[in-house]
Amino acid sequence: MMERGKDRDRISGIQVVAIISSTIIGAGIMSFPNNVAHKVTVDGTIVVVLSGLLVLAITFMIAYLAKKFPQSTIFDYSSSLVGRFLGKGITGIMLIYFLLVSASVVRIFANVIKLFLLEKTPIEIIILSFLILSTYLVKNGINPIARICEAFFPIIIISLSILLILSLQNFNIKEFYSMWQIDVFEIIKAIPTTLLSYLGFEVLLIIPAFMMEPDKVIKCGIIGTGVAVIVYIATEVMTMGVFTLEDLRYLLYPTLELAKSISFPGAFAERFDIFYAVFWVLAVFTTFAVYHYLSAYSLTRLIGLKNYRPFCYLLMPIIYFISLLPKNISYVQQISKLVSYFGAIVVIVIPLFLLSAAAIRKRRVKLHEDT
Amino acid sequence: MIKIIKKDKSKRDELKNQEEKKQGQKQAPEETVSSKFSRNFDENFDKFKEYLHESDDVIFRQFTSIVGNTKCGVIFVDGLVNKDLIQMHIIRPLMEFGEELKKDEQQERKKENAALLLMEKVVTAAEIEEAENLDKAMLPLLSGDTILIIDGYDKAIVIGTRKWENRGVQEPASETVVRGPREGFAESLRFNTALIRRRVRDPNLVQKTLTVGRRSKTSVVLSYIKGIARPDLVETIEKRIKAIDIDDIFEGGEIEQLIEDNGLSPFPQMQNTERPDKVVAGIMEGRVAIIIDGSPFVLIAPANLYQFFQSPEDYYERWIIGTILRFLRWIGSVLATFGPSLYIAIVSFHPGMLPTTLALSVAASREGVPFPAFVEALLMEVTIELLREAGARLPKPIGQTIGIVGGIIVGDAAVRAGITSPFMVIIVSITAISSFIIPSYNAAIAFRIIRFPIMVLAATFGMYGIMLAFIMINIHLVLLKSFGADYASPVAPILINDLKDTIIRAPLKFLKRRPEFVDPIDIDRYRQDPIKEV
Repeated sequence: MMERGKDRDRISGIQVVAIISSTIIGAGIMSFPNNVAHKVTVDGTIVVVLSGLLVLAITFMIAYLAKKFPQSTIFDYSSSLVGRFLGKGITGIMLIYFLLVSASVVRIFANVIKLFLLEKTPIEIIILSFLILSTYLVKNGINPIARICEAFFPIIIISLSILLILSLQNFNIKEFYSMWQIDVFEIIKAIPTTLLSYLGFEVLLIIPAFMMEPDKVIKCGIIGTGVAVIVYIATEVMTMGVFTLEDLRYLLYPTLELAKSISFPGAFAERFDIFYAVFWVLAVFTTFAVYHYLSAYSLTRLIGLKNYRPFCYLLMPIIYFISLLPKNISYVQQISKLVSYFGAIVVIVIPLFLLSAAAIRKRRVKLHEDT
Repeated sequence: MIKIIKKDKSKRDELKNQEEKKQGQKQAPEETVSSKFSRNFDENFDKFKEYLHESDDVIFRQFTSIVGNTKCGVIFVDGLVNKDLIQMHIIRPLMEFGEELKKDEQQERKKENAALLLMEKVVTAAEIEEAENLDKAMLPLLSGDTILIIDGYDKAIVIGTRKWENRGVQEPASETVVRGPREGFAESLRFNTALIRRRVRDPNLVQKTLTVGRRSKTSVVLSYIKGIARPDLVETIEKRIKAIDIDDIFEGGEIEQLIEDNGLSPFPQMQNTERPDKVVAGIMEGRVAIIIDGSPFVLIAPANLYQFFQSPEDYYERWIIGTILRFLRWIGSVLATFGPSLYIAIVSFHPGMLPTTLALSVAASREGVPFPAFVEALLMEVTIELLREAGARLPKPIGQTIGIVGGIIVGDAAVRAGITSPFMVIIVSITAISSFIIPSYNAAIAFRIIRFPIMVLAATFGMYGIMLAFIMINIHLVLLKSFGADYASPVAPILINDLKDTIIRAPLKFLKRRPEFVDPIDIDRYRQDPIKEV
């Protein structure tokens, strides 16, 4: 629309929902039932549900912060709340986190593509092609990224739903009989891992600054995360119902294996996993593009410049080298672990810290007014 | 984009002005004096002769009016004018009538006013205008109007006498429908604007004429409805058209390429059509139609990608068939774009995707083929493009023969000779047919062209390459703008109102609002449900 044409780099509420959902649903959706299975002794559905609820609570907290400081990113309000120095520190942590996430997302992606689609192509080429494509998008601002998310999101959701519905043929309800035997201690121990599979909603720390209607941020944030949580729960239920817990521990990418297990009587196509690996490319691309943008944006803010565009190009070689640092898949998993710790700091520690700072400041102002 | 053009233009104008100033110090004052008409008949008449005496199609006729024995002259271009009109309503009355005018009136008005008298009481033509200098008279003269010069009057009289041979209303050749009006635009501008005016009897319908082309002076008409179309949209289009500084415009396609947002994109950013009903539908949505003299194709701006998949018939038939046809076009466009690349990717990278029996028969049929799948596909695709181009340029009956020879004989022979596999022939044929299912020829071209780079990507990266291409096309579409409107619009950004008439064709009952992507001033299409009202 014309009005949007004038103020190009703004995003609507629907676009925020699309960005959050498609950022959460990314590289992790293929492997997370495997991560969960390592942490539990019986069916892990309840863990996934509980951590989903916890994620919604955290989303609410972050969105609340964003609503309190409309039109500003975490970089703006952190320095106004806790001072310039600490603010820069927070920006630095965020930058490292975003860079690590970008690199690990693209590395995991390249590994899976190599495994399922292109056995002979070196992962360097896969990573490079992906980086070039994402730079082409990211250099144009947040609005085109939002539109790409809007365009791909329905495709991802529809293809995933078809996958889940089709795998109902192999579904076995018996797998869930043990669901309530899980003990509280185990749940508490497993929740952090599953929580970190949901990472992606932390985009809410930055993108509300670009919203056209900033007062809708809480609603949009909750819906966006909610859609992703539902998708994750459905995926967990289906993988659990089709495979046993032991299977899940050995299958590195259970969701793709789910596609592999589908068969049709009088099939018109075999190996659905290739189809899904293909659609999954879209899901990973949206995730990666958002993190690429956020890395470039936070680097710009850390240096204190305004135009982030040159940094999109600058980050290309940096992300490329970070993603190639781990020598093999087990190193990649270690890096993912590191990313998760950073993620915990970014989504829980920093927002809580800022919220309490805001509360203290408010009280101080109040006291000041009283006296 | 506009800004750049504007800048260039202003710079260029400055340069021109400077040049003119340099030369003009000697010539300019003389010219301005001489181009103005004087009261002397011969002087005025010779001014036209000076320019046009070498052209034999310009006719100069000099005669004397009965009234006061005034010298008169008409100038017109043979072939562009209605000669009967000149004969009956200009020359004849001037030469024969006026005797009965009162003598005293003649006396009163005498020499200098004889012209006014003649204009008021003798000339019986309908359209009359005056021009005070040569520049103003020249354009209408060359467009088919007649210039009347009367001794003692310092203005030339321009009489509307335009008429030239027109093709008449014919069925549009490039867009045929089963149901719907069969009239199409022709090459004459007035005729085309009349076709629009005849369908919209709204006084708010504006048909604004602009002139493009330094030498050709081609008329371009912007047609829109005041109160629906946004003024800034009209202004943008007008500005861009006015910024065109070119010697000649032959067809609307040139204007399209000169004013579109991204000239490098394979995708058309304006609709073009030969059908008046499509144009009227467009201007009713708040868009602007651009009608160019000499071309039966009318441009409509802005456009989004999804409009190229719509045909007027979708609305004339019931909604179910409209929706199904749209789905068919979606499938067609996907096949036309990705068909051969999917074949390449599956055959050379992922044969496992096919059911075992099919995979075996594909492999068996490819056994004798000496080329890799990519070369095979490229060979066949280029052949079919050759056939298509040859068929389009030839006269119709021969074109069909080419189709049969090319399609059936060459295809069959290629398979028998072992150059290609039968599967490839099927894929190529389906791709070709699919690209014809897209109602707009210019959008179909885009899909035809991007097929080739995708084939290269599929040959290097398999399915992953196709996905890369898909993402890249989507990024390009998302970035593309058409006169401020988003090209990928009802899908990204999502406009729920517009989606009802994009992916599906919802029943008319639900299409109460005009498309939002154009952002019309008046959004309501109709307000009441007719059946409930009764």
